[in-house]
Amino acid sequence: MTKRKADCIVSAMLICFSVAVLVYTKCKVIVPDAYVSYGIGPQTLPTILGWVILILSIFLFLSSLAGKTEEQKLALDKQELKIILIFIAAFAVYIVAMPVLGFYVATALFLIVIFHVLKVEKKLIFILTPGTLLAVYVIFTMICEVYLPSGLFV
Amino acid sequence: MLIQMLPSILLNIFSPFNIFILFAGMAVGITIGALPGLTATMGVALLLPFTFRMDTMPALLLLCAVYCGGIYGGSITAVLLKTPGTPASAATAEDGFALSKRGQARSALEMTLYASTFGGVLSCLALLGLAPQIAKIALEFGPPEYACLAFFGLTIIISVSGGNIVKGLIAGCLGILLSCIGLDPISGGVRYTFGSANLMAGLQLVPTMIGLFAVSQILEQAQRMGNLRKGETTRVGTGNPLPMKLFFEQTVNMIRSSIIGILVGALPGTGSAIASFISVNAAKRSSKNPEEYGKGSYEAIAASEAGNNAVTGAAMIPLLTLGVPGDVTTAVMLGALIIKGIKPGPAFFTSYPDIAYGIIVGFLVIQFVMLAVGFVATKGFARVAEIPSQVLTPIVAVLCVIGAYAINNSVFDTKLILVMGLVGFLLPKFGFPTVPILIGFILGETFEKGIRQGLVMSTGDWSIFVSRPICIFFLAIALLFLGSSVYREVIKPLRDRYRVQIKG
Repeated sequence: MTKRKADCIVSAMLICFSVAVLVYTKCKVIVPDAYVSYGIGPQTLPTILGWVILILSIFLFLSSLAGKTEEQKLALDKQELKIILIFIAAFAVYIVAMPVLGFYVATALFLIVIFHVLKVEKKLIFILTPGTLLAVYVIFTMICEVYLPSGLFV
Repeated sequence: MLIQMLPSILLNIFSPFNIFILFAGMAVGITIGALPGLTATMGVALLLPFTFRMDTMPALLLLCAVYCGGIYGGSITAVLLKTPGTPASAATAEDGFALSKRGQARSALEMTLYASTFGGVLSCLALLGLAPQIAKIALEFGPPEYACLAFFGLTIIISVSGGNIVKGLIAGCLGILLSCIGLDPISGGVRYTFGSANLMAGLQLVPTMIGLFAVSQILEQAQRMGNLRKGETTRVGTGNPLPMKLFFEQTVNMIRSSIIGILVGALPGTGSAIASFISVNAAKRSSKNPEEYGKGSYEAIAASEAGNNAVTGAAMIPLLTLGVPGDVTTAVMLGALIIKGIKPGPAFFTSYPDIAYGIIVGFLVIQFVMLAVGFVATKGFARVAEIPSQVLTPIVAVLCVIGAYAINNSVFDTKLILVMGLVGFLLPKFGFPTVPILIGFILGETFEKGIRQGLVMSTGDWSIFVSRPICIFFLAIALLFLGSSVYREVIKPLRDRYRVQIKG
């Protein structure tokens, strides 16, 4: 995808977003009269921001249509995309699983999966995973007394 | 009075126990500051119970050492991993990490340390000599002044837009919009919570910052590692020490940044993140190489670090002279003083001169303890840059999750870092800078609250924002900055292009 095409798509998305902000602010941010003092209430700043984003996005859209932005290509090959998607998925599963499995179990699984995906040697994975967990336990749980989520297990 | 008391104060501070306390507090502060999500405030609060059985002076020295160490420590991970340990070092992350990637981690860390010490020392001197005067200026600050200060801060967005003002402004507006989520600060009206109780208090600064900077950087690293073969690693060297000439070249820059840090720090409720962004902006405007900012500039690091560390001493000014804590950290310190039976206020320097001057001299000594500890540890810290990314990235991801969770013991905040991480990863791919989002997010609430409270004060008369001297000052420099930015970023390139076309 060229940068120009990307700018067109992003600015179109931003136009939709700003319209959504304006409509939502108008309809859903319900403001009793008592909340509005001297013409300014909770809706005012978001409405102004919505309009500013809308105007700037239209400007960006028109200037990208007119070809004023660079024709540089946005580089992201298949292998890179694959690893990013795996990373995001693993991170999302880790966060969702943490309250269920408990911090330590979820973290151990996350680390093993990610180290494996990043092609770290197996021997090293078996040293690094418990090492990290031990360090976290000592620093955060024992010394700083941060209470990490405990789920079905630990 | 200080000169008469100085020998006894120094004897007290340099007692073996107090020396131990200073070094221990500094080490703890640096460690806590370096861990993403654990802030200097949290460090001070964590160590408060340890001070209950101590005498007043060692107790205060411990808390001050943790505070200063925490602010400095946040910059270490900002430089090495682009993961600011505290919001104060967010402005250091871009340039520090760019230098680390080029194999100059050690010199970047040394610049961070020296500039932090410089800012801290100037801040102590201000606390010593100008505290009553600065406190008087701080007292003049009402909602209209805060609104104008925030407006001035928001003009920084243009200079951190990376050459595309439109995209920078959109990013800044998105940041301010994010700050609108939750209960409206004046009326309590609910905005954009979509029925979620987690959003009622708004988005928290630390998880938002961790997501925008740290998680996005983790995804960036993951992308880079996508093409590595098994066993192949991505490691860079630590580089050479910082040439002292380069440090001394930053003297004017650091003095200017320290003054900004002192003035911002003395204002209750502002914080060191604002000071460092304003300092970097001021440095960029007077720099001979503004194009290097964001790509690995020592000037930017010096400005950011001198600015944010100058806040530490200045934040004590309202506490010691007025008895008003300017932020959460100084509120915890106020608690420590009250526990010891001491109530700071206008009569503090005359009622408890040994404690008051002891704190100031102690702060000065702490800066040199920071220099010593940092100097010894920098070489070791820099070696983090040598750890292969495949090993470091997943561990940093776990630290980010802990940091986000630890702020409020909230699983929601861990989800927030992923969302903000995706925002911080994707937007730069389309040319949108992330720093304006953070600036907008930090200043949005101050700006809105200032405007609305100001209008309540003036019963709806907008002229309140242009009729008070401090407001006029901030608006004037904001307009000056805006004018020069528009000239530099828009008019000058257009003129140059036109000239080239005519010549062609």
